[in-house]
Amino acid sequence: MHFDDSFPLLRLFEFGDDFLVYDAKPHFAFIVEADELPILRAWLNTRNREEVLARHAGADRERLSLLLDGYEKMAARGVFLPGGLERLCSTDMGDLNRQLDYFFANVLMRKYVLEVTEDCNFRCRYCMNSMEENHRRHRPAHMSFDTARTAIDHYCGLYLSIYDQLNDDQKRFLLEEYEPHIGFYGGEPTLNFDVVRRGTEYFKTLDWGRPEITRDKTTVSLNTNLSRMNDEILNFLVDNDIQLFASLDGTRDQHDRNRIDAAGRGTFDIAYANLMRIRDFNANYYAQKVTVFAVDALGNDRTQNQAFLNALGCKHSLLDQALPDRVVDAPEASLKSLLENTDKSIRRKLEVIAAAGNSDAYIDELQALFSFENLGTDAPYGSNKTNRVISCPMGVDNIMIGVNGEMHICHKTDSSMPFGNVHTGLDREALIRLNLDYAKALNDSQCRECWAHNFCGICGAMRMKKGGFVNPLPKECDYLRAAAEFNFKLFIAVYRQRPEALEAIFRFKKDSKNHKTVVFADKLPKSPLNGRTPQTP
Amino acid sequence: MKTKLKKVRDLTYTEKKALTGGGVPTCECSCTCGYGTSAEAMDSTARSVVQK
Repeated sequence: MHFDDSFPLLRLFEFGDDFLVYDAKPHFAFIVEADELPILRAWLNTRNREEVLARHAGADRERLSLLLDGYEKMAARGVFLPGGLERLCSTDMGDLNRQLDYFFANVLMRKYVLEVTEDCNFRCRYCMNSMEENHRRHRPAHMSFDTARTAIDHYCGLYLSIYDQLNDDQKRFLLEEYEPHIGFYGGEPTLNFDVVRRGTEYFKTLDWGRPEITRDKTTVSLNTNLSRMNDEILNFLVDNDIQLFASLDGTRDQHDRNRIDAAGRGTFDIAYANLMRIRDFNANYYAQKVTVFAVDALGNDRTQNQAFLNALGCKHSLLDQALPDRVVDAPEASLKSLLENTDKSIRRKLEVIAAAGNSDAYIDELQALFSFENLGTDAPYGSNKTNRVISCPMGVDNIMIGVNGEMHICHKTDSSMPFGNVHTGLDREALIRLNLDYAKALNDSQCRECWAHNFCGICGAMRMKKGGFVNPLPKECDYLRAAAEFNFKLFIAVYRQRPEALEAIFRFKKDSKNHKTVVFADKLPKSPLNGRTPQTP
Repeated sequence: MKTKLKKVRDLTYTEKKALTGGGVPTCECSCTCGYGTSAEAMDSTARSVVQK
């Protein structure tokens, strides 16, 4: 429900017998009792205290005055501002430069990935690099060891630039929760296994000049399609405790629907055999360090594949398929289905919580509520000119290094906006331009007038196309808003009926062992952390 | 619980400060795999609705 067209960023949700009011500008929610709603509407329309008092002459005068006091105080703090935003993201060059300086000085980098090859022996039907014309293509381009070594040196410099600012407790926290880590990615990285192996050895034996950063403090991950496994690779994986992300979609018929080789043949048999080879080689490694990623491709049998994954005996995750040139599959049909099934789905989720022995059993069901952890519920402040960053800190938090050393904001981009090269250094101007273009895209009227912009998960990497940023289509935004509305209804239902579940979800999200949120060095507690997770600002 | 919804009479107010203007990232994508994205997570919410 909304108020009227004057307040596109103000939404109303049922809250039992009352209502929850959400204002996107301060990202703030509060409760109005049902009989207060006509008073709020009248006040919003007139902004005239005397007129509202006169119109509600029969009401309890003292209560009415308290309410109007409250509305006026909120309005003085930027709640109930009419109209869309004048600005969602700053496009001022001074602001962007200051923001980038702050991010470089404080963001604990979460991910650094080396694309050691663009080549792949599979042609999975849903792979962007196989199917999308403007994405980087599979081709026999490999990263040299010299580039890998230079990239690792670059990463170490970035890590130490944050690490060296911290006190001993904070350093311990960083080494435990955000340890030095690189990932090998592709293409299929084992097609350039020599660089993976030598790069790992270089990283693991690097002299950091900090005696506490020892080999066992560093970690390495590797993504693979499971097409190549031999004794050399098996020993390498186990000896280096490599976190292995292995792709297998489910049962043979399900997997082979999409995961085919260059000749168009199904790849289940080789992938599954190699997964079992890892298990047989070292059962403990298999159980602890292997995570199977299954893509829940359009048309796949999710239930069947989930059962298959559950029986594997290693970690696993079922991921939704990314879509080329769009962010929502069949938005009109998805919207219709979402609206028709909302109540049923929320009831089912509540039943799952009720039946669960502990929170582990329902975390997956409620992951959509992560985004409510930062919802303001007191002391509001709103403005018509916000400075949102609807993304991670681009170019700072997550970097992918391409085969020739180019820096990219993420491994999920089309690689069309590099911002430097490890051989020549950061191209700050390109990174500022990238952030500026992104801010301009988000200052589009459809985003500035969207009440759900704080819940929009469409990040910079997903919007990047051919050297620019493209917003979702209006019909996709309709769907994304409906999904946000669904999440609000779920949030309210859980808040009212299962508050302990909401606490568990937020606790899970804040625990950096589960969820590596963006953390800023200057926001880390100065005193010992004692296992606590630092607060994000 | 941090998220404690309040009624109008229970709200407190601070002096104006740029709580919304600090350039705080809203994207919490923390995938390590290269496949999952926050948008897909959002999509999965609805797709799980569809399928259940």
